[in-house]
Amino acid sequence: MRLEIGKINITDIRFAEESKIEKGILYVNPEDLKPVVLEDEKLVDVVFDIAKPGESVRITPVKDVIEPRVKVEGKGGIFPGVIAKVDTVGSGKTLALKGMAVVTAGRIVGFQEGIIDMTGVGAQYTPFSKTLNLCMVCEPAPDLKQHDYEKAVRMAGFRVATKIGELARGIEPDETCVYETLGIKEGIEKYPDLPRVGYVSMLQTQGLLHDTYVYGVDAKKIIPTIISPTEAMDGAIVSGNCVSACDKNPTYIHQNNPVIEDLFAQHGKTLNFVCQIITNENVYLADKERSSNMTAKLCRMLDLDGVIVTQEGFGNPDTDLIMNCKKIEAEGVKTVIVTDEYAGRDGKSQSLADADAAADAVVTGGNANEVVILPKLDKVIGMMDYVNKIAGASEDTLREDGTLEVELQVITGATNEMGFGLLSAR
Amino acid sequence: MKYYILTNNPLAAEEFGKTHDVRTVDGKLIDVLIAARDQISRGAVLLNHPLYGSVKPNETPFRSLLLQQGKSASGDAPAMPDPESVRLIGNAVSAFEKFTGKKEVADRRLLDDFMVVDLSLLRSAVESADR
Amino acid sequence: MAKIKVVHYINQFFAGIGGEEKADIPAELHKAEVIGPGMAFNTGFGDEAEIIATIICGDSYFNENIDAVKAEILGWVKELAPDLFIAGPAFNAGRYGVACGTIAAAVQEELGIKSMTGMYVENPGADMYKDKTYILETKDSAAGMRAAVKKMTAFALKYAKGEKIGASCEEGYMNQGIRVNFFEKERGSKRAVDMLIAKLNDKPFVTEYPMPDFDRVEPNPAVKDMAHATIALVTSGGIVPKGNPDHIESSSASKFGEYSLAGVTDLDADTFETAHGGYDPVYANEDADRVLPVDIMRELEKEGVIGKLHEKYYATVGNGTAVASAKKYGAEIGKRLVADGVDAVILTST
Repeated sequence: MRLEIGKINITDIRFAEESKIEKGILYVNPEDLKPVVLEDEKLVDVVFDIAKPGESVRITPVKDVIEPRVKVEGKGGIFPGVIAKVDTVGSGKTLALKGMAVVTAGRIVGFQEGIIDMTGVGAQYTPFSKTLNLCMVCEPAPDLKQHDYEKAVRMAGFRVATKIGELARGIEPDETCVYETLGIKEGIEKYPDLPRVGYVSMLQTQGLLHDTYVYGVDAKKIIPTIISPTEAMDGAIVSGNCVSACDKNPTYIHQNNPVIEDLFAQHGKTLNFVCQIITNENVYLADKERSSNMTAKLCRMLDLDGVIVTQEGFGNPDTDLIMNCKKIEAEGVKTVIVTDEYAGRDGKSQSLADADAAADAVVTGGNANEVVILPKLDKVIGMMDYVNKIAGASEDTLREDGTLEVELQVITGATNEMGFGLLSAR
Repeated sequence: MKYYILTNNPLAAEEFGKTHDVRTVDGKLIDVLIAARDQISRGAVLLNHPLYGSVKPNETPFRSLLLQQGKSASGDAPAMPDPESVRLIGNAVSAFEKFTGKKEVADRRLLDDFMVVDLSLLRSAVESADR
Repeated sequence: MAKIKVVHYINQFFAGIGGEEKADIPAELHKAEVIGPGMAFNTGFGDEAEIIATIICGDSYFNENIDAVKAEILGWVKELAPDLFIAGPAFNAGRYGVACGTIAAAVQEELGIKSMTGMYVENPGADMYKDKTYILETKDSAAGMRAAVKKMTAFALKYAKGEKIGASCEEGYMNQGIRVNFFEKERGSKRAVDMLIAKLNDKPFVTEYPMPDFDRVEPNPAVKDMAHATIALVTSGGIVPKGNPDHIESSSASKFGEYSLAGVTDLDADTFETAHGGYDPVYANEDADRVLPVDIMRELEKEGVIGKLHEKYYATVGNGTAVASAKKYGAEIGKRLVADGVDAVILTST
């Protein structure tokens, strides 16, 4: 499958009468977007705001981050099975608005986590301090249940991102990247001497606020399967996960999956990037056994020489990660795993909830328990009402001088387990 | 499959009390883990992961575990502990201990949120166990 | 700002006094003197720091009089009240490395004064003290002095000034088993791809998180004929004859004990007790069978379930005892059990 991504660099976002993209500037009329959000009667109001890199702005609590894209050639549309029809995506041509994101924020549950600081110490840790963020804070209908609120905000984010993505249609991209994977036989013939490499991505799938959807299907119900890495670029995988801000994978990171990008960078040079294998992280132990068995079997059947495995979230996914690693290694497939750590505030505790000697090649996104002091910022998009209730915070979090003492785990994307960031630990 | 639910989440008892064997623990999250550990040492087998969910163990006060009564080969003698269950529950207790700054949740609305999320994660385990 | 005050510790060799034949010289305090590698440190410090005293001690003397010499040196250092204490570098010299580690760790722990040393990674002092003081990694011989001093000087200034110390791989100290965050140059996914390519090509790579070392031991096959087997009891629960004749320490045990069970059918409060300092001893002291089940073993012996209970038992204290020491005791106990023809062992902990 061959997918062209045309990148349109967005250099500024401004509110204006007419929504359009001109000379790299995104003009948005919030009145155009409001009906897109409020077509769901579960939401009664929405406030749009813009946060730019370097500004004294804090966005919290963040739910999802999404990159606007539009499909201009090839089958299907962005977010298949969710927004567009369920056609198979991942080929043809897609335009992406680079340097910006749609950020959904608001209190879905009282412990809703996720801080994006656009300046200061916090900005070093979140990747979304570098994007121009179009933020939307949705107000739910009275007495809306947590499940319904989560779904309403999740879907509203995709609708808005799609609407903005549509503005890119017809615009000449600043840069075009081509990603192509080959069929099994083709690949072996074209790269007979290169190791065959796969990417196992573990999707968070446990229940409310912990779910991921593939072509609209709740991934806890899937059996591990293979997809083309280009499908994720067209939004085939979306996040319904609101917990563990530092190491959850927002939709933006699925769209811009760094492992996929970096494997493609080596594709045809040092390795043959064969496919992405998606698997889940269910709560039920027998499900974990089944999924890791299937994943290891797929690696074997595809004759892979090596895989990278990434996980999502805290605690029990460590067990899935180690099961996957152990079983894949046992099939003779060399494995590198990507994780983050919860080594305690002092860094002295056991980092993972599970371990095995087979996991001899580990990349870490850092210790999520490490404490940082975030400065008081001038403006808050969203609300700070619950900031001392979230994971990694405490009653002492909000200090007298207005600064926040928190663990890294409150910061969106700080210890991402797909290797999106530079943070590590020793 | 015959199993029981060990929980301190009132919503779990409400939802599953009529259809399932629900055994409530009067206490905090750690008390549920410790109770499960005791039962595992007497042969009970864990069916869901004790660190389910990304809500940190010093954050939510609730925990709901699925356990299967242990069976011993000879009948009367106590069942041998299941090594995998022992390992998982041990790791869960250590993971609980490494999170500092434990919070007492007083806010009603917040408690409700934690209960609902815990119930949802439990439901997801029960769906797997009952299929 | 006032200059940072440094006290420097070196051995007889680096002080230019002599080699092995002078290794027994006692500790000396040289106030306001800069000796041996101290000169290079002082040059490196420039205007920011200075060595205010040098302490010299022979390696044999230090290791043979460890408690006395430690107390003497701590007394001097306390009086001098430096901002930083530097020992070595010791390179691959074993006794010197242990001395540097011992004294640096003691200064830090007992006086609360920042300390550091430097040595080669395989120096026995490294494993013993890398989690108790900063040990900068050096080459294995004094040929690496220039590089060692450069590295240690830079670290010393940063550390003494109270600047944030980064991760071990950034700063060049040996990993202390504490996880420290830092920013890499490449993102995680790129590091993972590079690591995979290395692994696929059988090239060396360094994992960013070494898995905890569980040292799992495969159990031996079951004893087939228990009715004729000799079974021994071994415990890390500290059960010793009343009065603790071998003075096994209540924590960080430096030895194990071998005791007779000849004629003993039941342990009681008058004859046995626990030396362990890591749990409430009341119940073990009341009835030591609770930790070392001699009574039950005698019953099983009588019933013919087991052949016999071995007439000796072995005990140590597991509380804070180093894994390396425990391994050593285990190997020695095992050897003696095999020599005595014991078929199986029941290990009890607390």
